[in-house]
Amino acid sequence: MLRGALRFGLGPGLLGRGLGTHRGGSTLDWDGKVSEIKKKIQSILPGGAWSPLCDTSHLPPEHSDVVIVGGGVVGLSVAYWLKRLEKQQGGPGSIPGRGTKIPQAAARPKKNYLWYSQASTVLSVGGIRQQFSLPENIQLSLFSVEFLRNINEYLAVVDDPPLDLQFNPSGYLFLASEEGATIMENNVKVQRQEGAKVCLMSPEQLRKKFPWINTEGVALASYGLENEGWFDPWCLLQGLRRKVQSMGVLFCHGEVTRFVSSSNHMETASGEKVTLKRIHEVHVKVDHSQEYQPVECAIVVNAAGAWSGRIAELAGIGKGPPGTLQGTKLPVEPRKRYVYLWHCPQGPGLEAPLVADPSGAYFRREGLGNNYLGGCSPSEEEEPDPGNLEVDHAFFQEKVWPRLARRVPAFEALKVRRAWAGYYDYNTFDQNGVVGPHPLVINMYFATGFSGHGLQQAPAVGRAVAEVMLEGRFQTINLSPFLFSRFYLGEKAQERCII
Amino acid sequence: MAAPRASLRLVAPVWNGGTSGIRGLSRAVDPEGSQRKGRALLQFLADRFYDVEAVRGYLLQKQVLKVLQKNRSFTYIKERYGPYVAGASFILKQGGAVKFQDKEWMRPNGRGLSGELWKLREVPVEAVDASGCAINYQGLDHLLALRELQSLSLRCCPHVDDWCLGRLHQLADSLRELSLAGCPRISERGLACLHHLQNLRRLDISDLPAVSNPGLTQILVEEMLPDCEVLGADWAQGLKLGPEEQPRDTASSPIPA
Repeated sequence: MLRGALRFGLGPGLLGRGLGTHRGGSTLDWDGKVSEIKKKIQSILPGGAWSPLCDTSHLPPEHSDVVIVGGGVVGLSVAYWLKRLEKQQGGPGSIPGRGTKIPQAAARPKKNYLWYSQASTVLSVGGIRQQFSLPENIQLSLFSVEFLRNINEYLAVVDDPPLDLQFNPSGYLFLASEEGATIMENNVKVQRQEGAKVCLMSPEQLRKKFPWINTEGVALASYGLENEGWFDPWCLLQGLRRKVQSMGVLFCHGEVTRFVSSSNHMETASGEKVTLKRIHEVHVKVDHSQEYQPVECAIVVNAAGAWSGRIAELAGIGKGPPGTLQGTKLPVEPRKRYVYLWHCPQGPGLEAPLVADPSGAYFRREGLGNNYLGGCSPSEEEEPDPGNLEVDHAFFQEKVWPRLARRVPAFEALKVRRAWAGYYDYNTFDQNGVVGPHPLVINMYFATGFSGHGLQQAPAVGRAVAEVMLEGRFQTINLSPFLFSRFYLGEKAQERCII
Repeated sequence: MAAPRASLRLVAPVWNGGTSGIRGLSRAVDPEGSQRKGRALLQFLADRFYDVEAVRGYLLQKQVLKVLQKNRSFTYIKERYGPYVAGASFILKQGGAVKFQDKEWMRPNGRGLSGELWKLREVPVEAVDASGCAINYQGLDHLLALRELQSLSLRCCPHVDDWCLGRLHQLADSLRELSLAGCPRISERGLACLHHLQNLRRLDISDLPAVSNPGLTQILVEEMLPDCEVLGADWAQGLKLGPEEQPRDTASSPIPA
């Protein structure tokens, strides 16, 4: 019936032009044309996405309350908690789809189906542990583990299948040499105080439990008994995306090219002059074209991972005389790390935890087929150039393999199957995250700089940033040691347990 | 990869016995078909009306809360009567059975907890049969307080998953026998943390639908626990039959994953 009406009502001109210019039009593909016409009519009717002047469906919206730069696990977690905590307060977000508009712009251009090709989240080894030295890190990780355990209650979307994170509760095993043994003991004391289940093992106990380890040079080991292991980060990302989309967050992909801000010259109580900045617009450039959209916003969240330093520079952070607060840059830069997957037929069995050698090399089991994943953190002099994500196989031969083979003699016979590289959003100051507002650019919030443990802290960090944005202070976990101002004041929150 | 799990449904899960009443009969005849039709209609409505979506969300939430309520902690009983009685009353309330040391198995009778339970304050619990109970990660607290537990059966528990197995290391000193058969959420990743249970002598891991490769998993678990007798899938399961071998009688082979 519709076909008859169309043939009668619409002339060939409208059919020919309105169906999109990409159609070759050589064959009379009538079914395809009908469905296209139906789609056009649906979009023209009220509620559709058609605007009469020009088609802007591929661009970000013109206005939004919060813009989150970065669509990885940290950015999505901030969006989720913002929507969730705002709903609890009885704010406008109680109507689904309305309320706070939160588009997420990618900080770098990405193709449609390769959005996450360079994001650190999906290239990560996926581990989660509570064995840190700072109590804040331990608390963040404990809450994140509880989030992951109950992920189907937090991220439930009606009628979608439940998430299976493929969590391996096998724990982390840190080995310490003589020099590091005292630090490890202190760390374990702090971890136990915060509620982590960690046990200390001597070399004899280690040999008894894991006979495939060579305990030469090991004075002490700490083993996580519960709530530690590794999981599939892609699944967490998809779960968050799905839930966050159902809560009304808009996704846009493009590149942030500019911030338009205004300055306010003010005086502090003691008479010092400060310049406070406020960002008004974010310019998002669309891929492969010169088109950009100025997004008017109230708050910007910098969750751009390895590219956060660049975003901060665009906002004018660090432009000033060095040594002052204006001149303090965000010390987050991308650092390339390699991950290798190898097969070793005589390797450790099902019980193998994620083993971290004192030399910096680490490995874990992958699947049931005697495959293992691992790598090594390079020293400062050996840092590879982060310009691209090419893998250096010589690094494995020279640095990773000898260290692993010394620790696990079975690894002397192995074959590398695959390798990839990913970025750490490395905080050169103290290798811990930057969370919270900037003191001078008053509407930019940071959630970045986690230097390799961002994935495991993402749920808790998202909640902390949402609390700061909605309430003005941290409520559940106090992350004041991670504020931006520590870079100016020189107070390092140093993490002594980095992989 | 793990076997795909059914999406959250409003209808009661099939393993609770689908023979109660007329609804049960029709479900027994064509369980998947009628559920699918009902689900499709509800989904159709939920896509178009916010109210229906909210009601569905609320009903799902209620199911979740029901399980949480069953697994709440029995602090009063624990303080007054000790951890053994608290754990036993938790299991009996869920529908399981408990065996105290030197006593017979106690099962729940229809009239609440028996009076002699309260006198057993100092007697440790030796064995627990929690088959089919709705125990989850929180409820496992009650079991982990039973430090002399020797035999634990968690057959067909719908909420016991890999996270729960990660907690069993607290029973490593005493546990001799463990059965996990039929639990839909346990996979080979959770079985990897059973290596703490070095005193285990009997382990039943048969019929785990979420384990991706039952034969290989059985071999790896046997290597991990050399002193333990592991009952599970036949190791030849999952191997392809060669062209010269006769096809096996499928009725006699174990249920494939």
